[in-house]
Amino acid sequence: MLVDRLLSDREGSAARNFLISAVFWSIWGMGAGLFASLEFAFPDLVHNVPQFSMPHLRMFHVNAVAIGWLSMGYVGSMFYMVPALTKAKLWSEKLGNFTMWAWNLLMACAFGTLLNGFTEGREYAELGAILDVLVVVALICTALNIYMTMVNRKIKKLYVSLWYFLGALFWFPLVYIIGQRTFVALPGLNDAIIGWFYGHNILGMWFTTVGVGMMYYLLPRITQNPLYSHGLSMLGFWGIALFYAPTGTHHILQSPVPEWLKAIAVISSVFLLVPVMTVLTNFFMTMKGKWQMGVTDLTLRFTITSCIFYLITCTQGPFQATRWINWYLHFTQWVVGHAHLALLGTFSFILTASVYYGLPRLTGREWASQGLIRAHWWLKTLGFTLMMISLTTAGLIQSAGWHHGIPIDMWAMELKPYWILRGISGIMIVLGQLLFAYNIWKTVYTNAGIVIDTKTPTLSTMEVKS
Amino acid sequence: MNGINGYRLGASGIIITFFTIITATVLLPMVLFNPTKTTSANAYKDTPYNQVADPERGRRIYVREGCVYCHTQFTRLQDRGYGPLVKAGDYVSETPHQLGTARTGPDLTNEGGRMASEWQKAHLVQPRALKPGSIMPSFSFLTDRDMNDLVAYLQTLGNGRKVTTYVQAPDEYEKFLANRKVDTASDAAANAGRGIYTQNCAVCHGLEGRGNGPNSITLEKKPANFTRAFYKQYPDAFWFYRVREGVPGTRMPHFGEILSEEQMWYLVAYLKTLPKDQEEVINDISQLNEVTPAVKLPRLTNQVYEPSTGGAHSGGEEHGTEGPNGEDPGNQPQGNTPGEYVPSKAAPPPETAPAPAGGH
Repeated sequence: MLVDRLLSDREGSAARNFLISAVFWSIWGMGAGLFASLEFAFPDLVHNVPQFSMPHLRMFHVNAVAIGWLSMGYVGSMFYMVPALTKAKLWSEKLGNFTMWAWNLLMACAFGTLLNGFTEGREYAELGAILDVLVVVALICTALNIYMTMVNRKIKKLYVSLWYFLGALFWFPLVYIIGQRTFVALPGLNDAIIGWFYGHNILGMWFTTVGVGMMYYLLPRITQNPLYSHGLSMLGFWGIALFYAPTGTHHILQSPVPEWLKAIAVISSVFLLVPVMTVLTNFFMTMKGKWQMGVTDLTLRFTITSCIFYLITCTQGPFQATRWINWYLHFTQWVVGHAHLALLGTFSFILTASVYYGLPRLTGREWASQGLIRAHWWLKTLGFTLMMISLTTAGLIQSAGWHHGIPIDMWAMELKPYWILRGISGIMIVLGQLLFAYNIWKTVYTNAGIVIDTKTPTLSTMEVKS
Repeated sequence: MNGINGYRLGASGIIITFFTIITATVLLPMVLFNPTKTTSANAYKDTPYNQVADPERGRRIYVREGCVYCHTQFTRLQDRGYGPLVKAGDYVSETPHQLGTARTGPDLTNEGGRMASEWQKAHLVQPRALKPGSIMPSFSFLTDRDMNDLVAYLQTLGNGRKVTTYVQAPDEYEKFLANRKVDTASDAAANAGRGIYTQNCAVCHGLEGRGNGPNSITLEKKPANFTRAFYKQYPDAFWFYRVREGVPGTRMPHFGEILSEEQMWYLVAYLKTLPKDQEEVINDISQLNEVTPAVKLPRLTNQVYEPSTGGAHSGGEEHGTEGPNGEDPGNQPQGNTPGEYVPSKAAPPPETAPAPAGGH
């Protein structure tokens, strides 16, 4: 039956399908980003094609990597991590696969609408009304599935990753509903306040919480070291829950919104250093004695890289949220660099690690090529470092220009080398992602993948060592 | 449901934390922060543009084309040259907000009236024809109606915000004015100032005060051209203030440190005698210090974009209000009108979006 094929109830199929879809959309999303970055370097690259104009590509780029690649990958990862941590089967594989199809439909519609300029005009909330509803439905289906799995769990104690997933799946649907403003028209600045509440919390209450939960899962698993401290992990969790949500207004610090709101945003941004340092101390202490594994174990290498980028992004963030640094750096490519450091450097890396860790266990096949994984890591790491350097430098040039009141015509041309460097970095990253996709195709759909387990893998019986 | 009981506390913690934060940072601002609409907000109705285009529809085009990703719409305290500062009440009817977070291009808060509508339209079709080095994408795919509405919207930006006060000399300069011993209106004082000007000022501002001294070529912020009409309304105290303390953000030095008070007043007397002329820009060493006839630059008007008849707009119809100095508007050099715009070979403008050329 077609329905049985599409809505399979084979164990692990929802997670596997979600991960593969995520990688599929990552290529479109990162490709759109690359295309847009080339248009920064060569503005006359394309003419008269509205779908390929830079702002349309950017809308699709942001939504495809955030809602497509990262979010789908996160859901896929939770679908295999939660059963493994609770030793219970996923509550409903059928519902999971249904969610997967709904999400893919959503992304296909996003591709069709955003590139044609059907946007709500709100940064990070561009998707149209119907697609917003579809996202919420998909998120609620996911939350229901994970919560019911946790209710049926065989291990009484909840591991810290589960706390993060539990929190994220409660927070994020609400943040999304509040943040869309699809059916309300608020006065301009109130619109902006809610817009940045959402814009920052899609990061704080979803990408960070699930991403950190995945780090907590992967590090002890791969290194076979017990988690350094459960007490610290709880402190980190509640710190993020408390201090992340009110920070949004630091995106509009110099606009005429209420000063008390700006004060709350700046103070909680700085307080974020506490949970971040707690979490990272926990990670790096867990790694104790196992750092050399990063040389041979590529999944671990992706995880460590992600943790290190997390350290950088979360030290950068609180400082540039303070008023005086923000005064100088706001409105520039520095901020774009920071955003990529979080979403590409940290969360894309941890998701990649999760796919490299999860897919063999979900399909029972070992990766077809370790060389391709190695190439992927090098391309992505070097490409991203180059991107970070070029965007940060371009941002400092822009900052100086705005700060000294020099007309933009006088320094806009100075940025060209950095746009070109950013384009090159984009080519490296997309190339890495293509190798990643090729490796997945080779492993899953051809006979090159070495079968390690002929039986249907049972996640619920996978060993828990944490 | 055996597992849930032990974790009630944690789960309710997650819920309570979240709703506390929502209350503090989302609901509270909605209740407490309700700025009343100010008169300086952008007006989209009853503007000169409503007869030919729809600025409100233009705003939707602005949203659709994603202009917000590169152009911001709020001026900050530290911004220079972007016009009056915005107030909270200016944004009451701006939904969805287009504040923006990145300035890859200039701020557009007070863009209205800065450039002629023809210029704006040509710039949307091929930005690099008018601003070399710009990386703005070409919006040549917009239909003529979309383009007109978008330009009408751009021309209404900041139309509620009028400049009412200029920078003024600090209060202490009234004291300097009261204590001065030089009659700044006398020829004798101006003659005494001439030598001081030649020795100290001409190297940047030029012998004729046109801002074209030899140093000007190396300066990023060009020295002031004192022959512009703008400088003719400076009061004595303000001249004295600028001479004594320099101009922030430029290389203009603090002459209070090397000139005596009397010398500076002589200088002010001389500066007031400089002739009134047109602005000129020096791009080449050969242009320096040669007596050139007054250059008639095209005027930047608030002129309404004429509805196109038969698709193409005639650039020759550019007759608007009287220029700032009352010169004949017909005397504009051909090379500076938007009509000269020639689309690049790579992108012939389509039938639907003609360049505002044609008429010549």
